Amino acid sequence: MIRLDGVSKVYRVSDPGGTAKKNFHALRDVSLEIENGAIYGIIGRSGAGKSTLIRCVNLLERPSSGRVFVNGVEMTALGDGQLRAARKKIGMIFQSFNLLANRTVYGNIAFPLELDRWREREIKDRVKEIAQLVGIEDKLAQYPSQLSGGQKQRVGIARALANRPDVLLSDEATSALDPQTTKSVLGLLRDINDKLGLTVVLITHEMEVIKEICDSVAVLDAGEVVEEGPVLNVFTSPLKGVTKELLAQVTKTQLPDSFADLKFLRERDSRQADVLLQLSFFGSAAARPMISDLVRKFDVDVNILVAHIDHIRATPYGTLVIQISGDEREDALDYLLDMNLKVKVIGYVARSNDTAH
Amino acid sequence: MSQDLTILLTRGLVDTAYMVGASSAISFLAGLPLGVILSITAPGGILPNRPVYGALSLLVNVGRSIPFIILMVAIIPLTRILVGTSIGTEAAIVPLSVSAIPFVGRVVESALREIDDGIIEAALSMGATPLEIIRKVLLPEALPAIISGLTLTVISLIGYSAMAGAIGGGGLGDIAIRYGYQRFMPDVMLATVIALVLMVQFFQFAGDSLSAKTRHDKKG
Repeated sequence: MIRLDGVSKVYRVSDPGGTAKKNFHALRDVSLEIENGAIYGIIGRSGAGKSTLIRCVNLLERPSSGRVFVNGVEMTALGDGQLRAARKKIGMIFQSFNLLANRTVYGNIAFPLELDRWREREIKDRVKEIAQLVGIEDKLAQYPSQLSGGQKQRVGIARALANRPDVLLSDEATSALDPQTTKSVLGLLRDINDKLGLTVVLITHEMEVIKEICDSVAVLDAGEVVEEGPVLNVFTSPLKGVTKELLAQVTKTQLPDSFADLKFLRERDSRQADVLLQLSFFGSAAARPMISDLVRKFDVDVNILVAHIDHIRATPYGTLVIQISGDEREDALDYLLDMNLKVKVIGYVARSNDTAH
Repeated sequence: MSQDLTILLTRGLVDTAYMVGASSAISFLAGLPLGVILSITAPGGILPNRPVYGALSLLVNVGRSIPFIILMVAIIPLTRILVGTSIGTEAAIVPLSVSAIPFVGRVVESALREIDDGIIEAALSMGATPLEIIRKVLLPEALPAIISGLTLTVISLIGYSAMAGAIGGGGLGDIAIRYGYQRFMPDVMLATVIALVLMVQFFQFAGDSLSAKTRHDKKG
């Protein structure tokens, strides 16, 4: 288990233009627990402190205060030598791959094993084995400059896994890759997580990555964890604005521009008003023919304005924005609220306004 | 051109090769660690140390700003202590080395500085010690740039060795001055110039191809 306990990081930065030094809080009192074997995502906009946070796990960045535990060992209490030994069991991959340009693929994967004083014979066997696992066994004699981005990251992954770590840290590992390569690299990470059971901690600014492979997610904003939990929960009921913004990358629940001039009414019981609401559903609820139920049971019309259905791992989830009109719209709304759905009334719009499409 | 002259020129070539070879070897051996220390103690290096970096950097700058001809004369006492004389081929090796060491130091420092911080960070994340980072990351990754820099050093030393000849250091420069200039023998002058040009060409070519052979960060 990885545990961060009140971790803060403060940098002294010079004031632009001035000579005075200012404190910059990259991380503020971050506490997290990451279960063994999980794929844990940390998402945030650029500058949110993600990079600092992941570097606090293997102490490439030393927290200004707070404690970091990896598998029961308090990293923040270790001396230099012990810290180096602990790092050998924490693999790390990088956005820019950071491979040694003057070593072949073989030499790169062998590098952490040389540092750990493995025998040459064992290194040879292990490099072959791990290269096979990540699918680059035919590239061992090549140099990194001869590889594509996806292949380079596979070498990076192989290097990070060579010494049989318990934890793999991923620093925006797919951000430099095209969407298709990203998918295959993420697939590889999930595969490895399944096969080897190691804990993966990744940082990203792309919700897509979280959606694709993570079990749990923490949302980081201005150095603080503002939201945390299983991916499905955070996806279907985001609490914070930042989360919603980041989620908009994958769910697109924002109203299209053509609805921008909708006239919202204050009064919910205005006879002229249609109800505009957002439904989020996941799991079995997604399979129910909810809209046709609604129309059959009540005297209402339903207009779908925005619809988005996707999967997180094997669980379907979706978001709809619908407009309900008709005499029984309030009953229909109550019915929806009773179902196992997340319903959010966006507002009431004037029916007479001919804006619905 | 007589046989004597051929012997003379051969002798000069051997002397120059000896001066350049020995001073190159000495300046590499001393300049390499100097460059490594400069690079790792620099702000942002793996073992930043302001006093050490500041002191070494100042020393290097002072060494590099003294013109060779002046340095040669100024360190005559040191030369006497080290080789027992201030005249001759061996005596020339001392100022040549002294002038080249700071140069090599800077060349190595800048070659090491070119290495991406991310690669060093990756090595740190794998639990590498500072010494392992120097031996297994910094030096191998910077090798092509270091070879280019050392080639430059050898070529500069060939030029300086000719200057050392002017104060009795021997070698091709000595011959060019004493025979070509002072005794009006343009054929000797021409022969020494050709020999020097060929030497420079050879080292440039050898250095370039060695540097290219060790470079793997470009496609192809």
